[in-house]
Amino acid sequence: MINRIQELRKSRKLTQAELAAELEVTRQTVISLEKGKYNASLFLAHRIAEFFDLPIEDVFIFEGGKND
Amino acid sequence: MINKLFASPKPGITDDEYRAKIKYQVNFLTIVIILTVTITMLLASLQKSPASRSFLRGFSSGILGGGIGTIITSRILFHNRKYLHKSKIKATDERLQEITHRANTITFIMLLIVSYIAICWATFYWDRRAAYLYLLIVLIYLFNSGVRYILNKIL
Repeated sequence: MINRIQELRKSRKLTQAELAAELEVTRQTVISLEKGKYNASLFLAHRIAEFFDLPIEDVFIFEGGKND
Repeated sequence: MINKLFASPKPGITDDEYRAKIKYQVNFLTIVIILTVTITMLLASLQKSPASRSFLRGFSSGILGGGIGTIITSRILFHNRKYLHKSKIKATDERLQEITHRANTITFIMLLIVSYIAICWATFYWDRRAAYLYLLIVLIYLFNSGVRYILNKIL
């Protein structure tokens, strides 16, 4: 699973801390998400997509059977 | 009730909902502390041996101290909105919840391994009857399965 969180965040000129505050998660979680170390739950993925005003599939790209 | 007391706060809850949950937990904890301290103090007064009396008094003092600390911390939390919000984020962050869960699982396994080694050591170098302590490990496993079954039904 890959995501476009970093790209979308930078395009909106937001810092990781600001995005974390908006999503109500810790900054470390945003870092892990951006690095692809952690896969967001359905709830958080929905929240992120809603924040960027995009459909989930435009933020999170599922790559076949890979889940890392 | 069990859900309110033991389940992790769900992501997306408001600060007021989180506050209510913490308040419920603290109230429950206060009752448990009062009961534990009363029972241990009563048991201590009934003991004839000074060693067990001291042990029970020390135990109840520890519980009382820890309890007072928890109550003071929660009071600070209730009166500071910024601190409450920070605490809620830490408690509801799903990644942190997963990390805590993994850490607890590893600690539980390590605890069982250390207990097993200690019981082996006690059996061979101290007293053969220590072998009965192996039953405690079996009981812990049974307890674990029981708790999982109950939580699976409730949550």
